[in-house]
Amino acid sequence: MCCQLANGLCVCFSLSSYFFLYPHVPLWVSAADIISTVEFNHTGELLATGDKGGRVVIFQREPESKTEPFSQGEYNVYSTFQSHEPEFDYLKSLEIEEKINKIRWLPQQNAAHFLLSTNDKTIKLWKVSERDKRPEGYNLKDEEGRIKDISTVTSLQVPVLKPMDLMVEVSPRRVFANAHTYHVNSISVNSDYETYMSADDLRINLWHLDITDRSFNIVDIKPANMEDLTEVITAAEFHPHHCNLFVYSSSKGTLRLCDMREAALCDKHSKLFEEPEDPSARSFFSEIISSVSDVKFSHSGRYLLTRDYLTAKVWDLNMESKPLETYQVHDYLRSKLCSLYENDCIFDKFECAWNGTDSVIMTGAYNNFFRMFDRNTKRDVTLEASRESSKPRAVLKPRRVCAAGGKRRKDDISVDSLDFTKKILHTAWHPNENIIAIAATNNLYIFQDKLNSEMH
Amino acid sequence: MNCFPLTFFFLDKPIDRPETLSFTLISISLMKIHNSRTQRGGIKLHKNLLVSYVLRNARQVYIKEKYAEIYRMQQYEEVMTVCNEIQELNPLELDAEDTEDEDLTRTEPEPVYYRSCCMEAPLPSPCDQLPDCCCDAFQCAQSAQSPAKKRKMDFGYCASDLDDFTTSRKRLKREDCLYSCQDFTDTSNISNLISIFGSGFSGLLSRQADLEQICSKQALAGLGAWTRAIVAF
Repeated sequence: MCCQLANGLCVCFSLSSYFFLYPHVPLWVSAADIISTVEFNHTGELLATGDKGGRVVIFQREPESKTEPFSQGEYNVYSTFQSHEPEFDYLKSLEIEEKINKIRWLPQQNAAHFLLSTNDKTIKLWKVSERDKRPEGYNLKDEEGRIKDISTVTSLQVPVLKPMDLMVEVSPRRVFANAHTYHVNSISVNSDYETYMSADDLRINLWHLDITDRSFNIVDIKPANMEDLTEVITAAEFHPHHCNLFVYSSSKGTLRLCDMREAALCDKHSKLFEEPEDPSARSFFSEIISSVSDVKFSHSGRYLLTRDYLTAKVWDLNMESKPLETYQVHDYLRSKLCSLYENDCIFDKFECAWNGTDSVIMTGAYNNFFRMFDRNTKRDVTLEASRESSKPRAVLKPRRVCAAGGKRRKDDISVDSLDFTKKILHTAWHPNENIIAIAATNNLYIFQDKLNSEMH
Repeated sequence: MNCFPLTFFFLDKPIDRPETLSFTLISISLMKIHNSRTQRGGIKLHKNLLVSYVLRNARQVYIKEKYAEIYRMQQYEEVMTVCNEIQELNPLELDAEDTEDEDLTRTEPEPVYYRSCCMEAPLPSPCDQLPDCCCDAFQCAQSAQSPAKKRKMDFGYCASDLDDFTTSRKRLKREDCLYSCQDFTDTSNISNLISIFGSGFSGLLSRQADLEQICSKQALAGLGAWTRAIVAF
C-alpha cells in the first residue's frame, strides 16, 4: 500500500486534513467555485487558492499543540476576499474574465504577508495583515465612533490598546493594469524581492513592485504580421537565485533561458532547450501535445520541470539538446487524442511541482488522479483525490489505469471509464515538508505524508 | 465545454478511409474557431493557434488522400475506356492485333489541359477533376486582393513549403470573409470550404507537357493488365 520513495520516506499520503469545501456546497458544480490556482507561501504556513469567480481563499496552518494531537498542522481558512471582478473592455467589446490565473507570494519581510494575484489583464498586490488589538478610550468619540458632545467631556484620558478577536485584513496595495494586450498566463517574483514579471501570450513585462504606472517590456515575440504567428508564450519564471535569469516556455515545446544583463529586450535567448521531434510519432495533434503548459525551476535552480499534455520532463540547465528525464503521465491517452480534441480536453493545461528537495515531481491527470515520480528510484505512483475513496486519516491507495483490453487487476480502472470532467490541473507542494495541496475542480485536498505526521 | 464523458470514441477507432477522419477534424476545427469568437473572455490566441495547426495537418492529409483517390479513379477510367474500345473488336480475328494497336492510338485520350498542382504528392494531380465551384471560389478570393499581392501569392503557393502556417492562416482569413455568416454545421458549406483549401495550388503551366506524357505512358502501362483490371472491378 505504501510507496517507498527516496531516502526511505514512506509516501503514504493520507487525508490527514481535511478536505476543504467552499462555504456553499451545491449539488451541482458552480463554475465560479472552480479552483484555478494553488500556491503555498515561502514557509508553507499559508496556502492561497484562487477561483474562477475571482475570489482568493487563504488557509493557515495551525501551530501544533500537544494537547490536540490530531489537529497538528491542520490548515484552516484564514481569510477570503474578492480579488478581481469581471470587467469590460469597451474599446474592443470584450469581457475580461475575473478568473484568477495565478497567485504568487512575496517573501515575508515584516508581520504582514503580501501576495500577487492576476486575472487575464490586471495584476494586484494584496497586503494580508492581522489585527488583534484595538485602541479604546478616545476622548472625542465614543466606542461606536460617534462624536461625543463636548460638554460631556470632563477629563482627558489616554487611549489604550486592548486585545480583540483576531481579525485578518486584506487590502489592495497596488494595481498593475493596462500593460497586457493578450491574456496573462504567468507571474513570477524575482529573487531581488523588488521586481516581478508578468507574461502574456506574446510579451513579458518587468515591473517594480512599488511602481504601477509603467513596466519594462523584456520579451516580445509578436510578429510584424500576425498571420506569421507560429508560437506563443505559455509560462515564465524567474530563476530562484539569479535575479538576472528567467525562463519562458512556448507552445512549440521549447524553453528559452534569458539573461537580462545581455540586453534590454531579451528576444534573443541565452539558451534554447528543445527536444527534436520524432518524425515517426507525427500525428494531427503533434503541435498540441508538445505545447508546454507549465515550467518550474527546481529549488536548487539547476533543473527545469516542464509539463506538456502527455509527459513531464526534467531538463538540466547545462544541457539544451534534450531533457534529462521524461516521465509518461498518461500515455494511454495517446490513442484517444481525436476524442480529446473533440471535447477540448486536449487543451487542458496541467501544472507541475517539485518537492522541497527536488527529488520528487508531481503533476495532475484525469479522473481526479495525480501522479508522483521519484527521480532517484524511478518509481512512480498514481493517487486519487476524491471523497469516495478517502476517509480522514486513511492512507491513499495507489491506483492503476489499464489500457483497454489489457490485463486487468482488481480495482484497476480502464481508460474508457476515466472521467475527463474530473481533472487535476493545479497542485502545490509545501516548500519544506511532504504536504501537498490538490485542487480537484471545486474541492481542495490537502494530503500529508504519514511519516511526516508521525514525526510531530 | 468539456463536461461530457468521451462520447466520440468512434473517432479513435480505425477508419477505412483516412480522409474521412481528416474531413471530420477539419469541420471540428472550423467549428471551434467559429465558437471561440463568442466565448467569454475574448479570443484565446493560444488555443486558436493550436486549432489552426490541426486544421493545417488535417487539410494536408485530406488533400493527399483526395488526389490519390482521384488519380486512382482516373487510372480506372482510362483503363475502362480502353477496355470498352477493345471489347468492340473480335478477339479471335487474327488481324485484330493490328487493328487493336491502331485503335489504341486512335482512342488515346485527347491531351487534356491539366492544371498541375505543385505539392509533395508524387503523382500529377489534375485539378480540373475538382468541382468547379472551388476554383471559382478561390478565384473570387484571390481577386479580392490587389494584383501585386495576388502575383506574390501565386509564387508563394507554388514555391512555398506547404507546411507554412501562413498559408493556412491566409486561407482561414479568406474563408472567414466569404463564409462569416454561414452555419458551420452545414456539411455542404464545409465541403465548399474544404474545396477552397483543396484548390489552393495555382498551377505551373510549364509542367503541362510533362504531365501529358506521363499520363499517356501510364495509360499504356495499365493496358498490359487490362484483363486483370476488368476482373478486379
